Amino acid sequence: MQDTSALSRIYDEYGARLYHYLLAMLRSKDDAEEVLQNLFMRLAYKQKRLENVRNLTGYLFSAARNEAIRFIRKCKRHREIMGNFRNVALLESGDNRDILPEEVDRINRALTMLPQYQREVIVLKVYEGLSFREIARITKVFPNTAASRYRYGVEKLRSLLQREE
Amino acid sequence: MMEEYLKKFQPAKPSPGLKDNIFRAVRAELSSIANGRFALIDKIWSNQLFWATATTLLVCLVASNLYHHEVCQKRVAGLYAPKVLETLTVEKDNGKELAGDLIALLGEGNFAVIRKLWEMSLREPTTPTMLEFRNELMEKWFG
Repeated sequence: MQDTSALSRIYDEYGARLYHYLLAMLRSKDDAEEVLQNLFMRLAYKQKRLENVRNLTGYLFSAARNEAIRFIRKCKRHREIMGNFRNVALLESGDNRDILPEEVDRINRALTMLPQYQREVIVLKVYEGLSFREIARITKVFPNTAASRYRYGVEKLRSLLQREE
Repeated sequence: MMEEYLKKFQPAKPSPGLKDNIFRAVRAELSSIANGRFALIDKIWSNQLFWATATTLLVCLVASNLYHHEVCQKRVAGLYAPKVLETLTVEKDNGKELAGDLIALLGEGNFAVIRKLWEMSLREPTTPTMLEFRNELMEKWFG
């Protein structure tokens, strides 16, 4: 069997994080899982090259984004639903018992209503702790654009949450 | 402030069995590619090419990302290595020695030396079939 242990370690460290990012991009659990599988297929061909990648986090998130875009272009069904409102559980309460299920629903609804380019920047900034320079590299925009997408996204999120209160 | 609020929540997690599914698919895909490559090698091998081609074949196997694939190792050890040994023994005076060195290098995965061998094999007299074969391999395996 080809040694996939290095790839397995990458999955253990990044699998859930990449899935979350893909979920933010695609707003569908099934699609995010499918794209994650496609991504690991592609990585399997490049296992040797991965050893020489300096910034693995940046590389993997860029690769995940490219894979998601490829999927969106290929999938007609996805294009049809991209513009429509689609609620997906992007966040969970986890072990925090102070968070009510309604609050989780509310934040997920608000996040889902953001444009995809704002949602992905929020996920990369808040949950991955990446700088705007790193986010810019992944999303192929200028750092200032990444920063303003984040700022507008957060403002919109705040206003959506206030509207629901 | 909003960032702090968002951090209260946990990112959604993928299905628990997803990793197993992904790696099952990855292994199946790699096996299928490996078998496809061996079909090509079998086709070439049946043309009874000379020893440099045999060397080239093994170098390609090692240089390809699939060297660590179980199927690949079995084929190298069980099928191609003895054939290379046989071919070398028949065609070269020091064939046995060369074959032993080659197989040891393949076993060690010594890429610098293997690359040298690959280059040496390219300097050997070539036939149109071998040129065609080499180009095919270069395109398929090294892009």
